[in-house]
Amino acid sequence: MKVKILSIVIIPLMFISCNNDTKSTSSSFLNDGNKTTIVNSDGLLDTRYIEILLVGKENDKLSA
Amino acid sequence: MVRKLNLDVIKKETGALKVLINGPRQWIIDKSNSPVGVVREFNGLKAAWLGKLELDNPNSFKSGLPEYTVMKVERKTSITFKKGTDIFILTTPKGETFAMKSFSLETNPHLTRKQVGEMMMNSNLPKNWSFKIINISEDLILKPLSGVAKVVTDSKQNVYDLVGPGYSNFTPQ
Repeated sequence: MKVKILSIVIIPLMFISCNNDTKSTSSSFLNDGNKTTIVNSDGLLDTRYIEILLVGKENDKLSA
Repeated sequence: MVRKLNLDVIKKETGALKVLINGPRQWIIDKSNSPVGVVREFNGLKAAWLGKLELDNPNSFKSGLPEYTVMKVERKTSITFKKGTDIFILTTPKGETFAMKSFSLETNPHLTRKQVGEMMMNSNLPKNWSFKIINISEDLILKPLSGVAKVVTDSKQNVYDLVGPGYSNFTPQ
């Protein structure tokens, strides 16, 4: 059985401006020693994240 | 909020065969530009679809990402490391070069980038794999021309992306 994992990346607040399919977003990260900060149009963001991995078969529409 | 994620509920709501959490993790890149998919809600936590991972053997994903196994990921993300940055390079027995893009905070939530580099320099790698730290003199931009990136995970669950022709603007040496 062909299985795919559809990976969803969660970055706190980063997805605020992304509410349409295939819409592109851009974030700039500022590295300051051990402290890392993401900056985009929404302001300062954390760079820690998790992924939710949805495992499905080839034709599952888990990305929709 | 992340801790409230109920994987059984998510599995039922999405119809997935299995639901896994990867992380928490820490980016060590300087910039990312990512096409994203639809935003969905998981137990009140909103998240955008970001990519598709091909996996021939789903059982290898039972606990964390498979170690030292090159995997393909469908995505059109570009990743940038700014010049002057120390980047962490993992080289495979085939001579493929990978740059670390994020490290795992699962065992130590207070782990720093510097500590990760030191830890990997002293790590026992599989035969013919190597690790080194390189300070880059120009921006390193990773973008797979084919839309399919290659990634690999080390024994500490740190994740690396393939660099080189077709995958980045240059190969850090």
